[in-house]
Amino acid sequence: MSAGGPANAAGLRRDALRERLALFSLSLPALVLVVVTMVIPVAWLFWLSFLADDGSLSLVNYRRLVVQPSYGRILLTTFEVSGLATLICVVLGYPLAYVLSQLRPRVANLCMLGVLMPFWTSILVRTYAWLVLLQRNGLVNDWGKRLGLWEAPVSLVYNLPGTLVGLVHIMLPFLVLPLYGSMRAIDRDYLRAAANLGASPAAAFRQVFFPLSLPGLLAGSLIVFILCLGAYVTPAMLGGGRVIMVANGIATDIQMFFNWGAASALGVVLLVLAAAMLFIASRLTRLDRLFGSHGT
Amino acid sequence: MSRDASLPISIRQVAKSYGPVTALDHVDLDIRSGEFLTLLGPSGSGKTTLLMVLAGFTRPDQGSLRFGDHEVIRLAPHKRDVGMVFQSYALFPHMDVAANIGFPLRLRRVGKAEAAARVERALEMVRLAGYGRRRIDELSGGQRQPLSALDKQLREHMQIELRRLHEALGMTTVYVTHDQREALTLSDRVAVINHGRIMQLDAPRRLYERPATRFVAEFIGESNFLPVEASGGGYCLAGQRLKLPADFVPGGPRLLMLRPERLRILDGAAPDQLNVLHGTVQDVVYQGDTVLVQVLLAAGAAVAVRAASTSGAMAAIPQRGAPVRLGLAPDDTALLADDGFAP
Repeated sequence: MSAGGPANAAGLRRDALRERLALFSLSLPALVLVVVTMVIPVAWLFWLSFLADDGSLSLVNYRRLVVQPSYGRILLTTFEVSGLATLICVVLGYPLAYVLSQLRPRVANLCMLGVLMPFWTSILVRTYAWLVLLQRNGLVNDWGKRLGLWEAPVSLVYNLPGTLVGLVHIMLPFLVLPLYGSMRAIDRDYLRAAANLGASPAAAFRQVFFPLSLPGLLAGSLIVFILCLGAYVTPAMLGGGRVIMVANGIATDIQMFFNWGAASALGVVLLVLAAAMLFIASRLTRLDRLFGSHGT
Repeated sequence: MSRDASLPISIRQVAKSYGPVTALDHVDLDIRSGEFLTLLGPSGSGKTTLLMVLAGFTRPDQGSLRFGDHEVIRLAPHKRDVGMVFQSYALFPHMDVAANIGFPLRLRRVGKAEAAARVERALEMVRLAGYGRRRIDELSGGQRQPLSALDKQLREHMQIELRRLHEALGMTTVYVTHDQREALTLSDRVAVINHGRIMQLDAPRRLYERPATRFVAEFIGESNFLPVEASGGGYCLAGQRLKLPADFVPGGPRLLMLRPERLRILDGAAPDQLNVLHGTVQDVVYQGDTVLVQVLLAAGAAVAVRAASTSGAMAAIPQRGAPVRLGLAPDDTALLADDGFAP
């Protein structure tokens, strides 16, 4: 017997380490990709945002965000549009996901195809389609006049409502998918048990189904909201210059003013705000669990 | 509607088909006031469908269902006032234990203080006092109750506990299981169900000792079956006239049911009053609490005999290959109708 340590301990430890390294090496390609295409550019932007025009370290780009009211407006618009779009998505998406979750799985899968269909067309094409539908001489205005809903053409596009229509159309699946998943996961026995204990269908929905669907609703809303924060194509095309969100501001800074510092600062602020939102939301869900444990 | 939890339940001609599959075939069943009745049957027999009809979650094609004098067959589940324990537990995960128990009280707008007191009393009754603030996922399987997921020891403990609860509350109770021992342990009466029909409805002991048909005998307990010949108002096995229970009513072709624990290995002279079967020991398997002896009868069939594992009883078991005589008391000599059921 060799001296030192219990039998084979060192060898077994080495085997364990080798196994872990082998597993890690599987994720290496993805890791490299993320570092090259995400981490390095973001770090570079971060660095740029702290450089003044003459290349010296300064906070001038951030000061501009505070001092110039136009930037404040951009941030406000971004949150306002994202919040409204999320709200509309919830109002439209919750009933949709509910109906889907109550259908037989095969029928539900078929309907789900319909929900996912928009994913198969590019955002650009869909946004152009809305442009055609919503413009002054578009289909919607045409029908509205023929049905006698309004006389003169209504501006449905190049403004906030137009932007919202486009955004909601693009974002709805992102809400419906996680929500549908969480609703499907709710055991029907919970609803049966509620009815068995005397809950009318409405009471069973309010006190059992809805609370159990909340995590999915929150996840979906969060995805939609954060995706909206970075929206570019829709406000650019359907906003007609009246709806300027952060991504549009960044584009303008770069394309018109060649000001990479200002654009970077705006990007960093957006990133930080999105991260803060995620953090708050994760806190909220934990609070939700806490409240849940004390009943209603 | 004020409800009495010990109302009798009357089921009349309740039928339900799913396409070509008959789940319930015109079931008639009367459940007595305060009775613990178990629906026992293989999976797909219709026992769960019948329970779902009672709770109102399955709409039958026809029939009548009465709780006391009230016809309830068309009543919505939430208006029926029956308590159902779900196999999946169905404890609301977003509420704590007390909120789960208090849920029906909140729906019925019972005052907060009274509801809290009643919840506490209920918790005490099931020996979970002090667990009210626990989250559902903090409860063990036993604390969540349904029996099927528990290990044998805990399960038997819970069965005794359920009996105690039922005796204390006196509620009319319908229980569904495919576990025959559970059915025998818990029930006042057991309804054995197959193909959507009630095959036999009897008290546990009668069901076990006097099954009406081969299906019931197969489903409840172990047994071997031997064909017997009718002769002169009685029945014969291998030419030997069988001594039968006093209440036996002859008629039609019959099978002799042999329960392993009712057969006795005879040592020395056979008492006159027993039926005696001759055979050879094929195998002796020690199983801890009992010994299983496989015997090939002279009549040709193999039967199992369960003997006690006490040293005295063990000493009386012949060696493998040796001849053996088995005794069967007339009261344990059950002749039953052959319904053609073969497992």
